[in-house]
Amino acid sequence: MKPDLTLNEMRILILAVGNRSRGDDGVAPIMLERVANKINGLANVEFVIEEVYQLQPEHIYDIDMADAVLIVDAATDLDANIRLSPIHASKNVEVGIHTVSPVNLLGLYQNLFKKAPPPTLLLSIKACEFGFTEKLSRTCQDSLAEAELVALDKLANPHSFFNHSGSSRAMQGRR
Amino acid sequence: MNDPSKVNLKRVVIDPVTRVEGHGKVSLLLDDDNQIHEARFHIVEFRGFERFIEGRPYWELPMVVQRLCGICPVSHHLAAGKAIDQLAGVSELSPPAEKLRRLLHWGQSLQSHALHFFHLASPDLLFGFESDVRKRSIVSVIESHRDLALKGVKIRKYGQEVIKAITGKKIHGMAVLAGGMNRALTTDQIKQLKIDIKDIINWTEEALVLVRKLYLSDIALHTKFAKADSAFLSLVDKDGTLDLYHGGLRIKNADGSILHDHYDYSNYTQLIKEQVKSWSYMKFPFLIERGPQTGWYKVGPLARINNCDRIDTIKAESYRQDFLAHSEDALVHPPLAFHWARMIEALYCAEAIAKMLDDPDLCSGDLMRRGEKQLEGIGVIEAPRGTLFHHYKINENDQVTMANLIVSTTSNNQAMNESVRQVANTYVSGRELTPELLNNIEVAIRAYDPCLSCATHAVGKMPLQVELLNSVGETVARCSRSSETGFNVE
Repeated sequence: MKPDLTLNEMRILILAVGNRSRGDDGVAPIMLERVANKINGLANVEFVIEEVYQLQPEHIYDIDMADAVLIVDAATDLDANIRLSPIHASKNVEVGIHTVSPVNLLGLYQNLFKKAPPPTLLLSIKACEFGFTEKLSRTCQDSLAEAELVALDKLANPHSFFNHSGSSRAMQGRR
Repeated sequence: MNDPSKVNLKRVVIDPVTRVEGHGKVSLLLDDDNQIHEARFHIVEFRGFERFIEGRPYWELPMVVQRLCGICPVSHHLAAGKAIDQLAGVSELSPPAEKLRRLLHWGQSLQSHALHFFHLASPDLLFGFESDVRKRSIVSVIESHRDLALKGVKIRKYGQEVIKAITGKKIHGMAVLAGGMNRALTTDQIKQLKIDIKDIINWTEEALVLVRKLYLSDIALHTKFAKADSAFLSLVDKDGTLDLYHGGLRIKNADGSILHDHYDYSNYTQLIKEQVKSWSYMKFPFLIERGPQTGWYKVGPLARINNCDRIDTIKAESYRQDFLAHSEDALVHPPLAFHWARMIEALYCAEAIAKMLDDPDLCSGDLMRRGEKQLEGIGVIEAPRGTLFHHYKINENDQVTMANLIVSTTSNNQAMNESVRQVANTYVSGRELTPELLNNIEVAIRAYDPCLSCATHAVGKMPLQVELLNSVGETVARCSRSSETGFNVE
């Protein structure tokens, strides 16, 4: 079910995960910085942007204020440069002070709030170097450009968050 | 130490340990009868940022070090800040600046302690060390104690809000300058923080009562589990009161007698030395006067509660006295008592925050002091996991020429190895290997709340893998555990 954007302003939470001082680990915050200026002013959509080192349990409260969520993170296990995929709450939640995975975060949300989390997409960006530097590897730079285009397309069409099969919750209004 | 080449050994590797912070690995060298020959807790990541910051201007340090460590950014921010105060020739901050730093530190310690207990340690304590790993998880805690889990997240969130109010951001915030702080709080910010603080105190006390009850529910097991008696090291203030931000070093011997008191931490290089071992990137600090074999010590909440003479908040002091009264020894040694001590400190932090929020100095603009530049600075604080040393030397161009950091987990390194060895011999040796048995080792390590990462994070990098290797290095069995697939045997 798609939200009625004529009635409500939609709020999209974007969580960019990474440490800019650790090479490719900083690709998500860098991408978000590039995207942020371009998504300002899109009608009927409010973007809440958070740059974080790691996903943490208290982010469930940020998620609870959103109608849809985009999590952007570096990834080492990709065949392609990027991967955009819907994610769902994990049944077996494991939590660490700085090691909450996206599906675990949604699992924590679902278990604690006893309701499905908002539609959530994970944009993974291929990364390979994690040394002490603010520079991105060549591989990651290529991935970054592609990720930026995909993110912009997705954010400019917020309905599409609800198109992915398995999105278990339609826009319910903010809690 | 046994030589693996001379006996027929298997090696069991737990890599990485789950529900601890970062990547650690446990190796158990077994013989054909599953008897433990040796146990090692490895640190497999190389931090290396002491070299990285050489050449940087010193005033960048509080910002740089918190960027490099994502686990306790505020602790490193403050310890580096204290060191660069000295480089700027400032020996005493203005009262408002010091109060803001203390408030920041309490916020960080509160959120760190709360989350560790609620989400990392409580599954072990609530469900038992050898219970089914599928049951011993945060999900089970939520199912059976949902209110507890929610309060844990809220306490954590509150601590983060304190940090955000003072530093401007939850991460990459900037508050500490050489000689002071860069901004005061506004009355609106204080008003906001006051709204929830009574609930935070109550919820933290509830958690403390629970951990006390759980510990005492099987005191025979909990007091002997992973026990590795040692000296304790921590800061105390000038009259022996618990102080997380400043003071002199106190070292108590295992029997409770005081070895050093009000030791000036500027002279720490005459007190502590670090030993390097080939199989770990983490060093092994020891007291020089005792040598590396017997000079190891513990830091952290258990050390602080054992070492201090009092706590200057009413509820936490009452619980501290109760805590000590349950020990038959002069000091409380069992590693699982870390959990109890941690929550006493969490309650102290919550009470201290409440008291501080009534102080008008938090809104004062008197935030900076100046002095004559020095070429060496040492800052020490009590981070959530223990005593944290930052030591820098600079040249005439203000560039860092030397940096030495002793982080809390490093100080507990030998103690963790001793606990692993003790647990392995007690619980694993001679028994069939199962996730539950291996988890006994993790329970011991988790008690110390080690912090092993250097803030790299990427999707899909945190599975648990266990490998069994024979004496020539061949893998004879492998199992894994992750949140997505659960426990799998290949």
